[in-house]
Amino acid sequence: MRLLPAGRTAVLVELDDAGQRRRLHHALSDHPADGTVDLVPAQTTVLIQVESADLLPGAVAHIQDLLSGGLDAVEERAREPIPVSVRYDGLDLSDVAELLEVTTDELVKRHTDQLWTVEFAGFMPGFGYMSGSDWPYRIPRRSSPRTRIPPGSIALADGFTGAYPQASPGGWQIIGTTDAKLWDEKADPPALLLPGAVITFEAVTS
Amino acid sequence: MTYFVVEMAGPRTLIEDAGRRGWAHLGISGCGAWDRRAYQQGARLVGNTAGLGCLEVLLGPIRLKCVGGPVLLAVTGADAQVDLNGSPRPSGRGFLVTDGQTVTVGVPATGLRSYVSITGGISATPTFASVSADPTRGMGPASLKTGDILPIGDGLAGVIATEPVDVAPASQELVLHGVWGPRDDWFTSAGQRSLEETTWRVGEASDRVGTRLVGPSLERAVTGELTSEPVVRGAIQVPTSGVPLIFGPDHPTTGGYPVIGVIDPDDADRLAQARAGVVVRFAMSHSDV
Repeated sequence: MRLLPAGRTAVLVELDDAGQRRRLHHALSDHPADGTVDLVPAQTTVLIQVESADLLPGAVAHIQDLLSGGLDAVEERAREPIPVSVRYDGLDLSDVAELLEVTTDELVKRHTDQLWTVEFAGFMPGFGYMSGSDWPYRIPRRSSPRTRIPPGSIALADGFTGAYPQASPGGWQIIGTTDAKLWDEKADPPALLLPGAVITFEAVTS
Repeated sequence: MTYFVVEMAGPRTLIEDAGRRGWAHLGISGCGAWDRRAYQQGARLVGNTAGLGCLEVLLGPIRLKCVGGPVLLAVTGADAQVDLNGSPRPSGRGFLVTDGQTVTVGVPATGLRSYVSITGGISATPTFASVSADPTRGMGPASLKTGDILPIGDGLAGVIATEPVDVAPASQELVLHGVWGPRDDWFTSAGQRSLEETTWRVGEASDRVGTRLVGPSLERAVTGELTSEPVVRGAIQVPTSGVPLIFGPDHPTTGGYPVIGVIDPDDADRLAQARAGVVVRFAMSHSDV
């Protein structure tokens, strides 16, 4: 665990693993440092941005307090899984299966057998980076990125599954499509894939 | 009711305010006026208290016709010529605009972005508690076009500052102060030295997402891939090319390339006025964190 400077008004906390990061994020969500403007999780890091430079030392002391109490005492919240229907018809499905030396049916089975946790958002509003409860694969990005990945695409890269709320260029490997409303800026919350949410994918044919 | 009709929209004029805060964890960028100092100066000159909408005018020219009024208007930021019905008005000072009059903001002699502030603020439908345009994500109001109507809101007016704001020519050479990290240790000491010793230039491909620099490639000590991590406005990110870019207000909320340092908020404001070719130097220090 390390505290890394990120300018005059922010600090980046680097944790040993995603579990520790989730615990620190929970602890800071429940007990924010004074003057917190943004609290942003990523895979093994959390960024705390405060209103002004004079509030940063206080925020750093607050984080050190939380960490000295031991993050293991912070319980990870149990969440009810949200089912998301997917048509496994993605352009890269058979290429990915071949890469992993499994059949496409086996790949779909592996993908639908997992509990996926939204670790963090980023890249575009509502795009969630999800890690699987028992997903051993690290999938390389496509060697040449696509200029347009259609909205609703379910895709794989590194150890993550992602879902595209809007059309975008991208190098992730597309395995399927969902009609689920991933992003609605008028809704509260606006994103289906909120950091911390647990997702299960269900295969559908139409 | 007072409104302005856009008679000439300029190449890119955006409605911006103090930006979106507290949504970065959902991938929503801060946005808002890039030159926050100029934005705040404009707000004070017209007596706007809260984070109300103004126009961020990239390289003019724009022409707005007033319907209704009278209303107080001020132009700050880049040193563009301002006219009311064809007669010059000083920049950096509020003036009244009445029904039927037209205001023009010309192409600035130096700098890039002029800010038009009007008492009550320019109203638009807020997205995540802000009227800021985010063209990169297609969020918020669209960029201005001819014929648009800009309604003036009834935002709370406060004290009007009567001291004029100095609208100086934008600097052709910027020294950007900042702190090292979070990933300065991903660069060799030669790479770190090169950041401070190089005379960088602002590249053509710069926009509100980031200011791309032109210069040498910074030598890496760690060559592996970085797991995506949160980034802030003013972050100096070093992509695969090794040539740094500095994130502006519309930056992505997470990024997968190492950030060697972060420039101070005031210096990030000054970058809003840096045209392609402007010289940039870095003066970095170590943070206490």
